[in-house]
Amino acid sequence: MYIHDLVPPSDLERLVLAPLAPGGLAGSPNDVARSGRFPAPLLTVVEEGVALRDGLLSGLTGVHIAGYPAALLIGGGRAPRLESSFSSDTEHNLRMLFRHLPDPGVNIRRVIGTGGVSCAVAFVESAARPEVVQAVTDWAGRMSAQEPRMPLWRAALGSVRLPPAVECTVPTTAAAALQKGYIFVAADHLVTPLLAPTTLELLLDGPHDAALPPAVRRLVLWPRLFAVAVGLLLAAFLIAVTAYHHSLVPGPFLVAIASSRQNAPFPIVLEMFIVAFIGDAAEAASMRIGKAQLALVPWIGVTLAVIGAMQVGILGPLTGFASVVAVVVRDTLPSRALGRTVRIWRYFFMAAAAALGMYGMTLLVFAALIYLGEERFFAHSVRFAPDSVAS
Amino acid sequence: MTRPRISPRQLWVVVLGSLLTTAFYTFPRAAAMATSTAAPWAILLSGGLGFLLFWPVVAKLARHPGKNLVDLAVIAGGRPLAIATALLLGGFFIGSAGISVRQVSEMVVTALYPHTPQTFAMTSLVAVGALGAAASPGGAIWVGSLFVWPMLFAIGVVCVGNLGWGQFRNVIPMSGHGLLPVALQLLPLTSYLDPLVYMAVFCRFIVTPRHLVRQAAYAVGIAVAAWAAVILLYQMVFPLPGGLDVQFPVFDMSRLVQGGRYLERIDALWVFSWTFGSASRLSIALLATALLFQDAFGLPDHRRAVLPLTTAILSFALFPSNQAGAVNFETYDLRQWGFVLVLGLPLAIAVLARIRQKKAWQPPETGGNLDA
Repeated sequence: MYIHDLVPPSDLERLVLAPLAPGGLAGSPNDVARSGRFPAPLLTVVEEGVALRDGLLSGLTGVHIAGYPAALLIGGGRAPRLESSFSSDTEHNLRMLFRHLPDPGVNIRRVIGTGGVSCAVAFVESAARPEVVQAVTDWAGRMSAQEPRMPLWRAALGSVRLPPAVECTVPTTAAAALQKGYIFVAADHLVTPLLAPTTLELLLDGPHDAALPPAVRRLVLWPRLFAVAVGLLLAAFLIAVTAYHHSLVPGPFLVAIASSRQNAPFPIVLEMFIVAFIGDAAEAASMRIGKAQLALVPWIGVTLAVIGAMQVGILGPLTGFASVVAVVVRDTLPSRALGRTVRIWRYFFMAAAAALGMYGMTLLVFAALIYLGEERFFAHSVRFAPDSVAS
Repeated sequence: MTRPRISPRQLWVVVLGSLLTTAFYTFPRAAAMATSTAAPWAILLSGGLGFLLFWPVVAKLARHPGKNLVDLAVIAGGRPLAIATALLLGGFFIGSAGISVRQVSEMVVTALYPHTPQTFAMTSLVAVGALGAAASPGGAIWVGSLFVWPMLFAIGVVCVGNLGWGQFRNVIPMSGHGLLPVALQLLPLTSYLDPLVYMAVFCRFIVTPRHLVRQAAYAVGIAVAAWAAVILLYQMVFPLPGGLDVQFPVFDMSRLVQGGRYLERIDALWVFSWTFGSASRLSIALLATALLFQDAFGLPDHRRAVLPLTTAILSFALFPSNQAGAVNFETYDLRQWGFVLVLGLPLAIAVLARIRQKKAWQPPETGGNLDA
C-alpha cells in the first residue's frame, strides 16, 4: 500500500513537499523537526504500515524522508493507535520506554535546556556509568530547539566527526540498549529520542536487531561493515586502479574503460570529485530551502534532487557506477549519522587515492582507524559498549 | 593522558598480529637461507624453544598484576638495570622497525610508484605510525588487534591461490643441511619472536593477568603454524636454491595469484596489506618502546619519548645503502644475535628478580628482609 493512496486530498500538497526533506547533511526526522520547516506541534515516527495507515486515516499528514526507513506523521494530536512508536512528546516517549523496560532501576533526570527546552535523561542505574550519565545530562542541558544555521562548509566539516548520540526509532531497541548501559535522551523538540554515548555497536545496530538471536545479530554486522567499506572506498579504489594499478584490472576490462573514456572531457579523478560534489550539493541545497521559497516554487527542491540524480548519467559510466553504488550503500546503513560521516570521509579517501594510489588509501585507512580508536563521547570510548570492562 | 586499557584477549591478538607481520615477508627467506629445506621443522622447533625461554617471564608477571618488565628489572638490579633494559630492547625494536619501513617503502616505490620519492614514502609511513603511538595509544592497540584477520586471510589466499590444499601432500620429510646446522640456527630464528616482549610491557594494563602464559602460548602457536605453512608453500613454489634469490617471497607468491575475470593480479592489494601491517607494527613497537622509556626514566608522559624514537626509526630506515643491504642487516646482524636481547634479557631479569625476592623473604638473620 502506498502513502499516496492513503493521504486525504487536502494534504496532498504537503505530501508532494515531503521528498524535499531528503537525507543529506541533515537528513533525519530530528533534523526535519529542528529545521522549523514544519511548525506542527507534534511529530510522530512510524515504521509500521498499519500505524501509518491509522495515522493518515485519522487526519494526520504523512511525510516520507528519502532514504530513511521510517515515515513521519504531522498533526495536532496523536493518533490513538500509535502506541508503539516514539513521537515528539517526551512523556509519551518515556511511557513507551517503560512499557518495554519494566525495570525498577530505571532512573530519570529532568533537564531544562537552552531556550526552555524540556529534556529527560533515562538510564538503568546498575548498568550506566555515573560519569557518563553526568556528562550526557550536561550535554542535554546545552541542547537548543532550533538547528543552528551554518555555512555548508562548516556543516560538512562538522560531519567529519561522528555525532555524540545516535537516533533511536524503536522502543524495544532503546530498552535493550539501556540495559547495556546506554543513556536515553528525549526532548520535546526531538521527534526521535537519542541514545548516548555513540559507539560502533550502536552505529551498526539495525532498528530491529534487538529481536534477533545473538548469533544472527553478529552475522548481520558483516554485510554492514562491508557496506561501510564500499561506501568509503569504492570511488577511491576506482581512482587508484585506473590511475596507478593497471595490473589489477583484466585486459578486456581495461580496454573497455579506456575506450569509454576516449571522449571524456576530464581526467577520472576530477570527474569523480565533480560527480560526488554535485550529488551532495544538490541534496544539501534541497534540504536548505526555506519555507517561503517552498511556498513560491514548490517544485524547486524536487528539481534540485532530480538534477542530483541526473548528473550520474551525464558523466562517465565508471564515475556514475561508483556514485550510484556509494549513494545506495550509504542509504542502506542503519545509522544516518554513520552514512553522513562516510560521505564526508569519502572525499578524503578519493584525494588520497588520487595522490598516492592504494598506498595513500592504506595510510588514510590506518589514520581513520586510529581516530576511531581514540574517539570518545562523554568520556566513553566509541569502540566499546558501555557495559564493557575495557572501556 | 589516559593510559591504554587492554583486554587480555586483545593483548595476545596484538602480539599475534605483530608476529605475523614481523616475519611475513622476509622471514621465510631468512629461514630458508639458514636451514634449507628443513625450514618448516626449524620454525616449529624454534617456536617451541622461544616459548620455553619466554615462559618464566610471563609466569612471573602473571603473578604480579599491575607490573611489567621494567618493574621486574628494578627488583632484579635496581634502576640502572631498568634503564639498560629499556635502551637495549628499545634499540632492537627501533632498529627492526626502521628496516621494516625501509623494505616497505622500497617495495612501494620500486614495484608500484617508480616516480615517488623514496624518502617521502618512508617519512609518510613513519609519520602515520607515530601518529598511532603518540596521539592514540588505545587506537594503536585496537588497530594492532584488528590486523590479525586480514593477515590470516592473506596467508590463506596465497596458499589457495598458488597451490591448492591437495598439493601439501606432496611434501616429503626434509632434513636441510643436516641436523646439527639446523639445530644451531634455532636460537637465531627465535629472534623473530620479539613481539612477545610486548606482552611483558603491556601486561601492566591488564586487570587480571592470570592467563598470560596461556595467551603467550596461543600467540606463539598460531604464529608458528602460519609461518611453517607459508615457508612450506614458499619452498614448493620457488624450489631452492633458486628461491634464495627471491627478496620478498610472499609478495612474489602473491604476484602469481590470478584474481580471475574481475581482478587480474592482486599484488597491488598486497601493498594495502603490507603497508597497513607495517604501520600497525610500527605503532605498537613505538608505543611499547615509549612506555619502556617512560617507566625506566620516570617520564610523566610516554609521548615525550615518541618524537626522538620516531627520528631514530627514520634514521635506521635511511641507513642501508640499498635494498639488499637492508635485508642483510636484518638477517645477519639484527636477528643473528637478537634473541639475546628479546628473550635472553627478559629471562635473566625474571630469574634475577625471583632470586632477589626469595632472598628478601628470608628472615633478617640470614640476610633477607621480610618487609621487602
